[in-house]
Amino acid sequence: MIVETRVASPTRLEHRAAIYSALPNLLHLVLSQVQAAADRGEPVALIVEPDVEREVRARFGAAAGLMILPPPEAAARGSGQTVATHLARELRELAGVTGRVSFVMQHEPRLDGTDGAYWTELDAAVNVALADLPITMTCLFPAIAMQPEIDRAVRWNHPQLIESGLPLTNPDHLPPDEVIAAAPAPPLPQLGPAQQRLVFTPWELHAVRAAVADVARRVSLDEQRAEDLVIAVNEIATNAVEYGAGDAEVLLWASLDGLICEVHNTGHLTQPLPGLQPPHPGDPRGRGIWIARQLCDLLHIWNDRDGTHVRIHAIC
Amino acid sequence: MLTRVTPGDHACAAFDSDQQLAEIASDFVADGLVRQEKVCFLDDEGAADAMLRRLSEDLGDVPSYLASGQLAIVPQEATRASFEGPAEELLDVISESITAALDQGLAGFRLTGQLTWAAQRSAGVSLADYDLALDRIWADCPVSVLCPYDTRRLPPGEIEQLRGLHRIELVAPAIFDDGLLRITQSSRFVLRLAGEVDHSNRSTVLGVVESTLDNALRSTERSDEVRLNLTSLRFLDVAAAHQLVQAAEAFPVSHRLVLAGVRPLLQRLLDRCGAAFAPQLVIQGSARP
Repeated sequence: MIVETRVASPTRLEHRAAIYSALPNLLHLVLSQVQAAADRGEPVALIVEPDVEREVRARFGAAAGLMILPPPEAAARGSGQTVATHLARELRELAGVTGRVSFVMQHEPRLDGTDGAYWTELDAAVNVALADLPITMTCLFPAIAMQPEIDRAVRWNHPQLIESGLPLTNPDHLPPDEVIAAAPAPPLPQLGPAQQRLVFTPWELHAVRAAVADVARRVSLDEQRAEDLVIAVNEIATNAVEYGAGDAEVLLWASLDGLICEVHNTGHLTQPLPGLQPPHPGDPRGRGIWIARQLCDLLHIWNDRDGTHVRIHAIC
Repeated sequence: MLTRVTPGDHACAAFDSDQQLAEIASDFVADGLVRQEKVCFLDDEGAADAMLRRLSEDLGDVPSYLASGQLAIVPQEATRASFEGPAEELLDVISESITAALDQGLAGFRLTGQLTWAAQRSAGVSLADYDLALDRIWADCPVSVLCPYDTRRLPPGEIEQLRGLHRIELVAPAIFDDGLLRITQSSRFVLRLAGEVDHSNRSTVLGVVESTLDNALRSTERSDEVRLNLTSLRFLDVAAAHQLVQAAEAFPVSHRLVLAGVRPLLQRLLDRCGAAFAPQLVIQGSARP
């Protein structure tokens, strides 16, 4: 008999938002968060604009355990669930070493897209991906950027709102499933015609793997990356034929920077943001998408009337 | 029926999957190379690639055998051209090759290949005539020939006729073979998996592992492990990897599930599926890339 010896985290994600009006107000918010974390002896991870980063460094130096996280990688932009996956990976590793971590993330207008829906998806995905981690996450949004979508991102996804320096319970907060049901993950911009298209059944997954491996060789992905990508696409393709209705379709593009793959099927997800949390060791389900997400630079899942769609991007 | 061909034998083998052809041809070729014989493989439809891959997994340094000329692959075009000409031409070439190999000090000569195209030709000398002629030319030489016949593509009557021309039929029994994955039993508690495990066949793999464990537990041989040789396993999906880990966790503490010849790809996948937390699971890496 196996006895699990893992220790449950004593606390979970604390996710709150604050609205700032101008740079001095933003600076005050960030510095106060860093100071509070330093007082608690917690390391602080930051994604903030350069002016703020300089000021924080000048004020605290390295003493406060400051870590500046990079902005989302180019391939992940536009996919809140992918950015949440990458954030969770970094913060999980950090929290595993240090215990509770404070994380401050500033709104970046270049990621808004056409309507700012990215932020609704990102913060909902964060609530799933970081749920079991001892992270205190503070999201900072500028008052001038409050498009309706960003306003929803703030009100629906943050259990607490910081007002006058104090975290207050947010009565509009919704569970992530309800957020995604009301504001589904947006589709990514359409690509041109695929260079290869394959319709497949559960008995033809080997043909999907062979096609992906072939394109991976053509774009010179290194051997390990190519193998990992084949695993990732196979998992998504398996889900498509296992839970979808009828055949599924895979599309492949050899891009300048790597390989892009889409898998489409006519089924609909019961779980709107699958694979964002590591599965329980004894749980036979949900592991495939989790692992696939860990292996790709982008893995974006969206639903529409036609079914479920997944785009994967692997950079050379 | 035999499982090995020895010098002087002219054997046939019926196969019904590419994995099976790779297995029987590779075994035949490996035996010849180890015996210091010249080995010639008539390639067609990419069969040589599959055979060489399997040979590399089993024997290692295949490029050195190719470089020295002890192992020769006849390309598809040359294979087909040789069956389009008069039988005497092909037999002359084979005779010269046998003589040259023996002159070089090699211990014998072996010939096999993918013969499906040759068997399906509508015109020209029949394979049966080649078989009869071959028996005449090597009467006193240390020559072995293995003629594999594809049961998926050749009519049963034709295979029966060809079988009748061979004194020996090589058999390679499998527990399971769906064309994607082939499971053979090396010994009572040792299985070899060759090919790929995915959604289409993973339940079978787990069933075979469980029944083999069941046999090990009931056995009076007191075997304390079930060994899966994964040297030729090229793909395993996440659910199958997880099922193997879970299967090991379900083993009694007295028994081990040993996964041998595990490639780095599979090792990484098993790690992600919690292999480190299953004390009854032993993973042995592949010695060859």
